[in-house]
Amino acid sequence: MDARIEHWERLYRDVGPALLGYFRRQPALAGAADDLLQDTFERALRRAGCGEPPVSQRAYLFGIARHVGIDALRRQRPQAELAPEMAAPSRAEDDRLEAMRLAIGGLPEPQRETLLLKLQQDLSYEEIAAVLDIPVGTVRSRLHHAVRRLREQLNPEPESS
Amino acid sequence: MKPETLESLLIDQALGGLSPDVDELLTAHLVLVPEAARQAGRLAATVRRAREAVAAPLTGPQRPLAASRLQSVLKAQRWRVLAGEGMRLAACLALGLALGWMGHSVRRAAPVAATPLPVLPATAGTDPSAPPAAGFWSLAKLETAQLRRAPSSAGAADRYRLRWDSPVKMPSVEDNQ
Repeated sequence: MDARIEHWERLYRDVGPALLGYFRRQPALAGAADDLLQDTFERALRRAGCGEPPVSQRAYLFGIARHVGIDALRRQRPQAELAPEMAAPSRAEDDRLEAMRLAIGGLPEPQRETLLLKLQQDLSYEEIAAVLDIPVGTVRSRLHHAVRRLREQLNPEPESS
Repeated sequence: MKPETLESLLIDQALGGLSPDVDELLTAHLVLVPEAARQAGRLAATVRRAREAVAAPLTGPQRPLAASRLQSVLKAQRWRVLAGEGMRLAACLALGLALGWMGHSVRRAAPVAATPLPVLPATAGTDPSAPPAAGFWSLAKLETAQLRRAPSSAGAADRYRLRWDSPVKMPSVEDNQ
């Protein structure tokens, strides 16, 4: 078998589950998660060798997966937004988790997307910057704003100084 | 430490975004400042809860990678590379042909181009002794020309008289005799 195919299969085994989770956690994309995962790897293979080498293969694939997801959403519904993913009740769970889910769903889109890449995929600040194609300082700033906002919403009691 | 700076560091720590040495320094600082340690605990709890809230379990196994689709992508890439090389080769060939044709045309047209152009005689206007005011025509130039034509006797100046009735008419030289 072609060595390049073997390389991509190894990547698929390593990063595939995280990418699959990335798609499955978005209700609008969950149904087509497996196909989107395949599309991600095909697109990555097509673009391999173009441009500068990525910060990490993981970040590179997440960046492509993000674009694949956006394209799929555009094809499905032009006005589709990712917001409902957090508001959708899944099971009978802790009220506090539900409240947190709603609070995260209410965050501005850039902050929510950055926070989810951090919390769900555990990407580093540099990797998130590569995925979203923004400076690391912007990643840090978005995360700070998001965490502050969540804490203010869920712990409204004033802090004793 | 400023409260804003501390808060930023604590959020970075809760998210795991601090370098190990900064993390260690901050932890040492928190041991000394209980209020900062409480704030760190609150932020860490918020982040932990957020992490739990968004960590939905995955359902279903992962489908194996369709290697045949990747093979077809690779094959298409190979064809694209070959096509690119072919296009480059064709462009070089076309450029060579065009340059050759142009060179041939220039060689054929060379005798015509080498025909010498007729040399025009120098005109009177290029006389370096002419006064600076002299242009296409002027009174001074006309007078000088008439005087050159006239015999250089002492009465020549009295014999000929310049007549210029109107600025829109050409001046003329009259013979008084």
